[in-house]
Amino acid sequence: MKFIKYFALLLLLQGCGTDYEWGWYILNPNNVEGLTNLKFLISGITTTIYISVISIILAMIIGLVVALPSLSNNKFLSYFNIAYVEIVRAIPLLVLILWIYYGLPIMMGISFSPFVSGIIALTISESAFQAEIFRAGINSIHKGQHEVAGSLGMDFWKKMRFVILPQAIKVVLPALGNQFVYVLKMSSLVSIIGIADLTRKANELVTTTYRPLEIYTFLILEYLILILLVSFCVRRLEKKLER
Amino acid sequence: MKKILTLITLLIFTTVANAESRLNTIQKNGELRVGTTGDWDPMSMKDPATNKYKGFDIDVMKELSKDMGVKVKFVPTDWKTIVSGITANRYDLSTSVTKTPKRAEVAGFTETYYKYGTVPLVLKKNSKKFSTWDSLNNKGVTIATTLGTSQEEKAKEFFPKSKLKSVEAPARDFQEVLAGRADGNITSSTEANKLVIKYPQLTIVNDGEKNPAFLAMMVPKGDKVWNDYVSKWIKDKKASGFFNTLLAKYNLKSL
Repeated sequence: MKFIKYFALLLLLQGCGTDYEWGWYILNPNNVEGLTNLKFLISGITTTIYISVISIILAMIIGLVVALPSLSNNKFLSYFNIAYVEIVRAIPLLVLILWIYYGLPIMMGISFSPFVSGIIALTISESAFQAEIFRAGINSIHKGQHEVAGSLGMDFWKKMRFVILPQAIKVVLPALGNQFVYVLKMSSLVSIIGIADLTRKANELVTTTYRPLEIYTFLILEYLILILLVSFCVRRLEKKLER
Repeated sequence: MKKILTLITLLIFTTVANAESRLNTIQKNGELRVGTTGDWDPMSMKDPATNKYKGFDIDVMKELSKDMGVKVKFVPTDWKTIVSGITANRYDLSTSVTKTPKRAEVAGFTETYYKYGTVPLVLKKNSKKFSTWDSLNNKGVTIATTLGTSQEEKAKEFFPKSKLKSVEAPARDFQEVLAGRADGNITSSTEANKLVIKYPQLTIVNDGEKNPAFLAMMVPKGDKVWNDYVSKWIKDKKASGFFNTLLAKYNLKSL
């Protein structure tokens, strides 16, 4: 155990031993330039939060709508579910963003703003994963409960609303939290179409400061804090629902 | 049948609308849309204090819109997609880019207004080993490039014997040199001068500038009316000394 610790320390020291001189002064809040730069970097946080929160909520709605047909005995409906999930899941998010922003105006003359394009791409891509999570959650509820609810005269929607979904939500909550974290990180990809999120702000500041290493290290910290906050909230919610 | 006919007429009309020059739409909307990357010092960058664009090209665009009597709107874009923004009608023209044959295949170039040379950058401790352009063109030498830039195309031409290593923005070629994963990279003389100040461990290979490159704005290919308009404006402004004053303001020298 001790050996491993020393080894790790040695690795760390070696890493610091290169002749790279850190230029943290560019982010030092004690001088005017550093403070301006810090404010500039952090100002992207609202965009990142907006895009992620709107996308995850829309994706949850679409995901649930796509998941429900999979439970039906109707073959056509369950094939729709499989086709949607398999196709959407196979499209890389970056490609989808570029396609919606640059492809749609050329192919169909539909032109969305960067912000809307980013949300559409994130929502579509994320909804396939949400659909699978909801399907698994609903399937985890014992079949007997479906039957009992049915024998009480409940139709499909009532069954879902009052019996199945309230229990399924508890089961899928950790997975949903996981996806929220994933969306927060993936939202950095929208910076390519010019949305001023945390990542874009960092890229822009690198241009004037020529200090990518310092700025991207700070960017990691920004995402880390955001995501720790989300994890904390999801855990609180889990505990609340357990009671 | 009726539906199909309406659809066809609609399609024809939209193509007609597309064939209209951007010059008309700009004047109609009272707004000039300019695509810019905001990551090219000193051409186009973001001012952290005001969160607005600044730079040589930004000043040029402000002057152009002022002379046209319209508002200017900067549309953020990226080097990898700056051409797509033109073809997808996201903006009417781009801030300056280096003229390359590949870009010319899909976009039109206006009259050029700036020329720069290309120089190699290496680590200072290797400056004896790599003192000439030729010394960098060797087996076992790695040259870093940034994906989608004009330097990437040029590096293939300058260093046929070396290994080329392409990184994608926001990662940059010079970082590869700093990290020791590449022996050198090439960049504009303008940027090289800034980089050696920021990173004292880098140095410019003192063997002359190569490949004078021409900067011009990109406009939709085939829109001759709009291209002629902007090109004539550039020529007039050159004659009036506007560009010389601007070069002096940004401490730039055109080759």
